[in-house]
Amino acid sequence: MLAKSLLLLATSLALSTASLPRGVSPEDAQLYTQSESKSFRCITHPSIEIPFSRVNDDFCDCPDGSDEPGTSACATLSHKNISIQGFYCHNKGHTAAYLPLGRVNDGVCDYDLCCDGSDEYTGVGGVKCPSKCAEMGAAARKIAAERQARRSKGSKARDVLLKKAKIMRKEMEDNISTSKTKIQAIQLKVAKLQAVLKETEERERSRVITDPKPGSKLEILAKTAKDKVQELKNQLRKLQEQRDAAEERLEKTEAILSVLKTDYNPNFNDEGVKNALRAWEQYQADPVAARNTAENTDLQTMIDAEDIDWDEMAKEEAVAAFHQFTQYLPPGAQDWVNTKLEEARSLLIDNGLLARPPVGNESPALTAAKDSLSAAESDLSRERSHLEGLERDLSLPLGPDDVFRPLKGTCISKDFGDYTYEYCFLDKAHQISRKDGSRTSLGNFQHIVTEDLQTKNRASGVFVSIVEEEGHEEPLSGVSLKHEHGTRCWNGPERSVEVGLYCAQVEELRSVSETEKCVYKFEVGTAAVCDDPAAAKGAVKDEL
Amino acid sequence: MQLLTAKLACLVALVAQLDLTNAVKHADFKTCSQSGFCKRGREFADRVAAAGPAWTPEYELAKDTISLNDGVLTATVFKTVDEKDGGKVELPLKMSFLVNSVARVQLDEAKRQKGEIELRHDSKARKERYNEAEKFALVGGTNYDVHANILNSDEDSTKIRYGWDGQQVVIDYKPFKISFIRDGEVQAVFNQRNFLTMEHWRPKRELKEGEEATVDESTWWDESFGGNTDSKPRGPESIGLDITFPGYEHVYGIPEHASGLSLKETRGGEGNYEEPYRLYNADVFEYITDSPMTLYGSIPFMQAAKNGSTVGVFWLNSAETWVDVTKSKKNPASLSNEKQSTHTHWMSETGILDVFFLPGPNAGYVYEQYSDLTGTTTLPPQFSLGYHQCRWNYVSQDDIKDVDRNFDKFDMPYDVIWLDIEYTEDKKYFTWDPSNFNDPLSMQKQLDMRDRKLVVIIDPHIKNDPNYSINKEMNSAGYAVKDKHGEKSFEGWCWPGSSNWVDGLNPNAVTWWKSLFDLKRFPSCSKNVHIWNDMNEPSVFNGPEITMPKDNLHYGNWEHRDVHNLAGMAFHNATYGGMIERDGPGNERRPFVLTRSFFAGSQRTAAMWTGDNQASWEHLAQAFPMILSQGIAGMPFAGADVGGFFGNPVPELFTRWYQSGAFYPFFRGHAHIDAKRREPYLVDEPYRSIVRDALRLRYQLLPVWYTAFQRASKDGMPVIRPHFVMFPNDPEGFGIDDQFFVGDSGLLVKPVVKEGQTETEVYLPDDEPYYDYQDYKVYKGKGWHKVHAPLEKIPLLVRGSHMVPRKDRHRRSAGLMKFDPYTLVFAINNEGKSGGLLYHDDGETFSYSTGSYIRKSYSFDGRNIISRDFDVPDERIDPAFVDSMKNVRVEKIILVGVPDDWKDKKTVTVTDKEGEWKVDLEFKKGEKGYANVATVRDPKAKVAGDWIVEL
Repeated sequence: MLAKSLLLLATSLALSTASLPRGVSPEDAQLYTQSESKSFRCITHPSIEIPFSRVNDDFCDCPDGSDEPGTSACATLSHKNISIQGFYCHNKGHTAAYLPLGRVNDGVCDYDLCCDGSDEYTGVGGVKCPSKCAEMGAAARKIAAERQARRSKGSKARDVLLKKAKIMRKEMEDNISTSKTKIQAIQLKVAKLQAVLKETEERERSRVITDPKPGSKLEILAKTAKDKVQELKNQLRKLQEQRDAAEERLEKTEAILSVLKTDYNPNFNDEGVKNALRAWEQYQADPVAARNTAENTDLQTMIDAEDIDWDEMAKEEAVAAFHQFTQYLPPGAQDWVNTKLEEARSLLIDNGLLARPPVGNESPALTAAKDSLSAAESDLSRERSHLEGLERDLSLPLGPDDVFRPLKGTCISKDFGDYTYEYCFLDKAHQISRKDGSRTSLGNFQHIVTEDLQTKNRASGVFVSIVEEEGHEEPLSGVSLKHEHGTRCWNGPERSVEVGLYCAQVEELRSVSETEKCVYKFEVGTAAVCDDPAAAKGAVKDEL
Repeated sequence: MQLLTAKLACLVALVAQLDLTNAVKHADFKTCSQSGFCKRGREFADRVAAAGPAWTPEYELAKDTISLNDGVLTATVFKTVDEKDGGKVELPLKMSFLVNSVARVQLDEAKRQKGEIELRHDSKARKERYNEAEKFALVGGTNYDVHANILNSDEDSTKIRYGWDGQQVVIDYKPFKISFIRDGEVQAVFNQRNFLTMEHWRPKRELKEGEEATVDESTWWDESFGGNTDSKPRGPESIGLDITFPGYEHVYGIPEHASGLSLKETRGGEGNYEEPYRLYNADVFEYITDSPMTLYGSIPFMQAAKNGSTVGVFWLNSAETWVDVTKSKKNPASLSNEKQSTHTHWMSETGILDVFFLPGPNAGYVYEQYSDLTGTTTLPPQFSLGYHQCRWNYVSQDDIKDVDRNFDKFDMPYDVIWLDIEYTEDKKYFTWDPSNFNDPLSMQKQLDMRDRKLVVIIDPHIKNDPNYSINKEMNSAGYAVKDKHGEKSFEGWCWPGSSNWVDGLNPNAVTWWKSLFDLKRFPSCSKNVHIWNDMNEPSVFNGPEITMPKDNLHYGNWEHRDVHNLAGMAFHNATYGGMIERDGPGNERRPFVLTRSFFAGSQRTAAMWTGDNQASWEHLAQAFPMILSQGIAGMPFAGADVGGFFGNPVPELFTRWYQSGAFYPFFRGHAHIDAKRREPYLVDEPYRSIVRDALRLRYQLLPVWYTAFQRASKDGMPVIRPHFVMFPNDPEGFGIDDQFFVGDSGLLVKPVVKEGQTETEVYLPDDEPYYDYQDYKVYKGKGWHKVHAPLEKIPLLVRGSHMVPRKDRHRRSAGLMKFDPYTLVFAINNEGKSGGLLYHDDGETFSYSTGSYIRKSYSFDGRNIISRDFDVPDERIDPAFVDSMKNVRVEKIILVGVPDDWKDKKTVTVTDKEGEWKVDLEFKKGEKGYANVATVRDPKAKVAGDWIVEL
């Protein structure tokens, strides 16, 4: 019973297909059903009614071309006016497709779209187009399967990239906050040192300095303390380095395990792998004690802390009585007295009554205070520019979810003719002579461009469904990386490269061309542009 | 993949010697005063003119030497010279009266003719004046009119009558002068102003001590220019002649110049040139517009037009030539009917004086007379009238395939893609660059799938490399042009670096050159490959004026100076010959050959383009006058690089250029290697769609173009025709060169060549209705009319009286339109009539010569449309083509400008030998200012058949 109804269904389908005018797709079938009056209304100009016998009579009656879906008669119209998609090729055994009307009965077997050869039914000029759908369909399915396999691998590789990108982002964010904390610490320190300097300068003006006697107790004590502190600091620094290295190794190992987890073949029953993966999952599930950034900063601050000025500590001071006296005055009076004292002192010096203070022979304490301050200040500006750099890096537009970030600095190269072409992602491209090794810069990375070619072309009436006769290559994704300001050409522009990206599991340089002078085009494969498998599947179908 | 950079290295090194930063380098090319004989010629003319009636004429015909036999008059002209030079120089005169009413005047120098002279520097050069230009330029038309007879002869003159229209010639003896009379009026006079010059041979005399030079001999014996010295072994030998056209206000022709169609005056004054028009084929870098400067090719043929009459002059000389043009002013006070006249002064460096007078009486006759002599344009293969896509350079076979696919993807038709020099291995012609073109056949095969073609460049400079077999063969057989000593091949620089040049004047070299194109010999070359001959002026980068030294020796020991202007033609003729023979006897196909250099006769084998123009509005505007000039000088297959060779056109310029290009007989986009990519699909919307429309218009009108070319190949009528040709009785149109007619189709087009224009003025030469091609708006009344011309619109009208045949179905190439049906558009005139011709053949073979073609006349007399054969043989030797067309029909007939009372017509009757049937007629009333249009729906009439549609 079921079989019978299926058969019936099939027959009715066959019947309705057979009665459709040539070139009409099943989905448009209802537009071409004959009415009682045996007339046809132009699809987008329904006011125009013609006898149904004039459908496909090789004369274009409808201004939208809808009366001639099966001939080239309406190829006289311009794109924007044609309302039908073209001549529908059933392509039994392969994928159905529309052929532009101007390619019907032109003496060419347009197998790329019409593998069944149905487009040349009048045999114009003696042309014969037997169907090739069986072989082409099989070949296309094979290619599609290969492509899909390739893309799904590519897509997995992309996931890894995305994971790495996430980690990198986190790291960068951490670095930024570390840097910010550091800047705060340095700022504090600068303020402190400024105060110290001021104080030192004041003291300097009014003290008599006596160097410690060599071998005095004070001097020995200072020296011992100094050595001890230095030793502790060195130990601490070493420990810190060891810790960082260990953490890096751990990250790498985790990354390897992540790849293993996504790429391993579950159908391959390897107990060892499975055990390892289970353990990995558990490990991942454990709460990770995130590194306490504050502690780390403290540690760093301890290491970086300015030394105590041990020499200064060893000096004995005898402060002039005047200054001791002024300390008991209110602040305003202190300043006034000090100023007056200075004036008097200058007067005495100028008149040769008092010796000039030794020039260029600052006391070590003052020099040290100044040095410490300027060192701290330069630390501050260094750290600030470091922070700027980090922030700039973080804000770079590196694709959706920063997918390109992990590729930065990855270099690939390939030989073409007399040159090796080298490309470092998001960085530089070079042409290297294979004769003399000379390197010519083809440009530095500028920005990422994403172009939706399909939409753009469709909007301007361009055929998007052309299947390349040869090339089973992965098509370009529409994402490209622009590089400019390479070495200037003789009497020409600066060299530049547009790197067109296609999906590939492993980064590769497929082709290089210089289609106009000093303007290069690279085709580069990367997982970064591999869509997720579901979308990729859809795309494959469309192209067939 | 070896890239351009490396391959350009040698070019770069070479070009670095040239200064590329400036536009045309005037210093590279001579002015008249830097060219010895031109300087002497002008000074002589000035002396004669200044002396006025006091001038003692130097040339006198000896009356008793005249004899006229079987259409040929011979006589001796004597030139009076210094006693120390013998007092008199004998100049044999031969005047031929030809059956087509053309008269030919040849003047030689007896002493040189007989070899009674001595050459300096032990030169091996020939002693005669060069007299073989006719071997290359002429193909016929030289049958003598044996009925030419002397009407009367007296002490002062002899009058001869000849030709089919009672043409007369009056020869005055002293001063020697020849007047050409037609319809009782003098049409042209040779030597009216006594500028006749034939610099006789004389030995070089060293001045004795203390002797003062009596004449300035500084340009007689050696001439230096730009560091090159010309040894001039024959001394001064120039010729000159003034030709006056009484009552003629306009003269045209003598291409190639980037100048207007109607020639300007050249002796200064407001709006005039200071320099003569120069003809000396040269590779002029970044040439400028509106200049009489020489360019790549030369055709020494001039026409003069006045109300109701056209005559022509053909100056058969292949040496460097300069032409001064002046016009006498009308005297406003004069009461007489005196008209403005045009005076020309022709000066050539060497050769015999050999001039043809073509009596007209109208342009059509002049072209027929000129075609009888030099031949007509070859009937081009159909594909070559489609669109050509070129660039210096498509970098690889993959690049070519990619561009090819993109044209289809963007749905733009094209027929031919081109390869410039970089496809070769180190600029060695007949080789392919092994890294970028390692499988040229795959590329040719892909093109062939859509019936498309590939054109590759082959230049005359052959890389001087002992490992290059073609160079070895050429030099060992002595087929190259020799240096001035005549022993060794001349060596100079061009694209490949050190090179030698094949000598197209050597018949053995030509045979050898032809053999190189044999499909079995030319590596990886299939039948859809055609040829571009460039740099054949010849361009020699390190030569004087970027060409060959004049004292180089060609085959037969003729000096290069004698043959310079025809050397490029000799070369492309050889290429054409090789292309015809390449697939063996019986497999001849029409070749397509493009040349940059040309001479009178080049039309028989090649198309030309206007060389290296620039992406500027000035150059866009300059192109049509240049192409029109080519057409009226017998070489209609002409075009300019669409988009402009140098530079990058902005989208508006680019778009307007395609609209112009769609009306170039040769329609090719081309770009310099430094230019941005500009395949027409690369431009953004809306430009892309407008460019596509221009391409589609070209293809839609291919039947018009092909029919026009067929006529040109028959009788020399230009393919695009200026007003003075179409309306000889309307002098108001004689100066117009930015609008023109296409063939006999009645299409009048004025493409926009100015920036930002949205409206233009079109001149209508008569009172017939002119219909807008797209929307049938009617323009009527002689004079100027405003025509709307926004970016997307080409001002294009159809003149009432004409039928425009079209193929409306949009295909990918011309070849794929072969079996498409036709649409006939009848533009109805004031009398209610219209008609026209359609020519069609297989588009690729020579079988049309055995009758394998369709030529129909379709006419509408107000009641019926009648289709009948027009000028076809009764018996076709080869009916194959006509048979193949038996199913091709006329799918639509559009009648534009029908009367209102047609509104009730619903059906019409079609009758042919098979029977009669009724078809629908649709009438559409025109809005105010627009024409009524009636459309016959699918008359199912065979394009090749005889039939009647009764309306």
